[in-house]
Amino acid sequence: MNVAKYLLKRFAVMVLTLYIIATATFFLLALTPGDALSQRVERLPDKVAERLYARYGLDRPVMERYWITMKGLLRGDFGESIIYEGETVQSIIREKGPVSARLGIQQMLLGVTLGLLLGILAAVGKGNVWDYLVVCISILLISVPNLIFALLLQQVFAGKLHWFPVIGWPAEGGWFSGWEYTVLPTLAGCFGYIASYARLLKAAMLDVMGQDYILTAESKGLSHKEVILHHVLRNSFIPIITRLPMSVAMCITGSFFVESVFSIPGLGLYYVNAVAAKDVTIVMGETVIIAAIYIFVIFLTDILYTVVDPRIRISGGKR
Amino acid sequence: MKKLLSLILALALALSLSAAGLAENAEELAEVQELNLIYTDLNLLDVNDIRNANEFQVLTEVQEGLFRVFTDENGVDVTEYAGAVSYDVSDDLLTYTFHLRPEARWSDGEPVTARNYVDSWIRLLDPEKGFSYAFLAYSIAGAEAYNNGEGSADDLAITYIDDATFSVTLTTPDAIFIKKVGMCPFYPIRKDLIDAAEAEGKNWTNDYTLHVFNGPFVISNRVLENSMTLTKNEYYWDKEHVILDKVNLRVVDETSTQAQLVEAAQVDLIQLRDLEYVSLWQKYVDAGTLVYRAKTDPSSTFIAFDMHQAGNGGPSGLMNNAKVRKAIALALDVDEYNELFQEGLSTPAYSLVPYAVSVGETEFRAANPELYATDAYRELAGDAEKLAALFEEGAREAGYTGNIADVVLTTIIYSPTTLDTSINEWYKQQIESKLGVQVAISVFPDVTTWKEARDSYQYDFYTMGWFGDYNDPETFMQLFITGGGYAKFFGGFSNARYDELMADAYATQDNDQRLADFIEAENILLEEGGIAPIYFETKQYYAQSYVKGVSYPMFGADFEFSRAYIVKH
Repeated sequence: MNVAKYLLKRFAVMVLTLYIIATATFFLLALTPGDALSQRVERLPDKVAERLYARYGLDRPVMERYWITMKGLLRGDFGESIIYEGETVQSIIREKGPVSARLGIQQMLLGVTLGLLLGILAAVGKGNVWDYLVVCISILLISVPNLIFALLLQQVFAGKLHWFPVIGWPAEGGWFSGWEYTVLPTLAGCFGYIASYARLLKAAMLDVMGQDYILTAESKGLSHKEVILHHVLRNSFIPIITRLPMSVAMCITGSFFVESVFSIPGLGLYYVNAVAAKDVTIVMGETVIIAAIYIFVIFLTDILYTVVDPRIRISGGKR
Repeated sequence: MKKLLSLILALALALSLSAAGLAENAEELAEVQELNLIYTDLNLLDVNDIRNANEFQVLTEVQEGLFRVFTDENGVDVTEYAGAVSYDVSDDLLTYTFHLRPEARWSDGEPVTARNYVDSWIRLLDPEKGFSYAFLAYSIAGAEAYNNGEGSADDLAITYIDDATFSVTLTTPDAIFIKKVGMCPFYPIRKDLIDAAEAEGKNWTNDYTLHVFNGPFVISNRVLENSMTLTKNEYYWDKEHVILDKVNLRVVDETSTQAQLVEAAQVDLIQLRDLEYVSLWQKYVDAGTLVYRAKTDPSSTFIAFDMHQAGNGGPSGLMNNAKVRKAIALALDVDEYNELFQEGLSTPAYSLVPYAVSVGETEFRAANPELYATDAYRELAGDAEKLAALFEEGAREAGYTGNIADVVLTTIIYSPTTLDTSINEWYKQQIESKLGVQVAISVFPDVTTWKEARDSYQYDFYTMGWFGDYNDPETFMQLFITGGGYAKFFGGFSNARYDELMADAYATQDNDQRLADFIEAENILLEEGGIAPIYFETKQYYAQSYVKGVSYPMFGADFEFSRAYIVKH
């Protein structure tokens, strides 16, 4: 009963959060000077310009536009792109979402795997050369922007060595086609994951290794390897598992720089271009959809906590 | 003896054969006829609603109007009949009758008819659509009124005669009407398909699958803001001359990536944006792998002064005086500008109309050497003291009584790049050092606030430019007619004699008369200091040496690749 009540409450909060985000986005966009049409109508006769504004409803007062936008949101109708006539948020996400998702998932799988391995290496060899090496690599990877990595990889492995294509993305044909196009962008985008997961796992493992039950396990006569594998690792994975959903959510939103450098038809590049061009309908739609995904993932993460860590219980719950 | 002769003959034959073989070898076609280009994605595929250079580039290749422009071996534009086979002009010069090519087809096999042209021209003027280029059709009777929402489509003098013929009647003779109607906005359309798509609520404007094409290529694939594929149009009437099977267009934002692609021969032809590569790529040009080509662009960049009546001479109050304006114009060393900001690759400007623009057969600049480049003006420009004296004389005439060193001239810019900032700093340094006045650079975060400042006359001058739409000085000269549609953007120049000359040029078909009118008018504009000329742009192109047959016309598409081909390499 309590769980149902909790879920209901959480759901109400989620809807409220989404509403606030949508409202804030709308007014922030309305506050910024300029609009998508101003460049286009610069050289048109005044009357023609007025008609264009009327067509996109940009001639109406802000509050009226706000209600129209909100009513549209309820129906899932975000409106038509002002820059690319006829395109809608849904059509753009349908077309570009899968591209960003494939790139993001590849980056995440590679980055998280390498990150975890490095994390274990650092924790097990705490204080030795491996530990310092991992710390150094993490700091380097996290502080250099991935635009730099992208350009470097492109110049060396595509430009000089010709191992991979300079730009491009497999056109169609499933998730495993055209892998050679994906190697460099995947590498360029995975470094952030490596750095953050390596540090996260190392910290968690060190924390667990200081616990009394590890001492117990060791005193039982278990080998170091067995202690690490069965006791330390399993318990250290709690923060990892709760962080993963957030990383998955980040995948689909795409990454602007990597997509831009390698000319990948993804969502990140499109989103940033839409903001620059003041294509308000697209920006509103994408923001709301991405916010909804994040809010849902945060909710999922909270549930996951209770599943992986028996010490955490929904408030009021009893054993 | 006979033997010797035959031996000689045989040798000669062998030699000539091998020579022929060599020549053939040099032009032997590659097996794969694909061209790889970089582009910016189109905002739309609608010829009537065309706005940007990238749309001109692609739509010119997949659609076709009455004419098609190529360049000859000397780089001079050659206009060929395309959708039309001929046209007649009535004796009063008002009625044009177009005879269409009967074998022209759309990519669904339907014939291209006069109906398609008539539909297009009426739609171009539709007041509900607000198409940017509608003004090009204003010389057609009833057009301007209809486009302004005051008239009706029924009053438009555009007449369908039969499937191969249509005619239009103008209000007054227009010597360059024929040049305008060759442009993209006048290409034929398939109204039946547009209506059908709109009735079903489909996205005709941007969905290429709903389009048919009558040009050398068809769009066969498109990924929004990423790539587009053009393939040879099997229904094109002149398909024997189309050798390319496929053209791959890619969006590549980073200039360094673009350069990588050219160096790796994954892009075959590029218009350079980052002029740094001109020196970096010289080694490839010397080695013969890249072919460099500079093209005079029909564009003019200059400074516009606040000469509006309502502006009261700008914040300084001096801009209504011609001497003041001229002193500023001559204070700018445009040669230095070209070296500093265009890597010395463009042409410094000493007048308004760029090179290569012609009236009839006569190049305008050949008939009217640039006024500010004449000896008298060069001497004045080289003497800072005289310039400062000219400025002061003008300022006194304008009623300024204070110290000249206290004069502040304001220039306005928005969201400037590093380059824009340096250019404005250069203006400041040039004017301050030569005229002894102060220059304030007023920066606005975006175009909207900048426009507000402009429309409330909070400037003395700003940089402006204009890209000519068609090959005639009129496309530049019309900007300075009193109360004209563009006066708002170019400082509001007003001169009764100038207006008279322009009206005269509009009213005649006689090219000698028009040339004389334009010459006098341009010289008035410069004598009055109506603009401060800066430069005429030269575009830089690099092509892989195996790409042949590309044309670089001055107007319309940047380059015309419908007859391009790839030789063996």
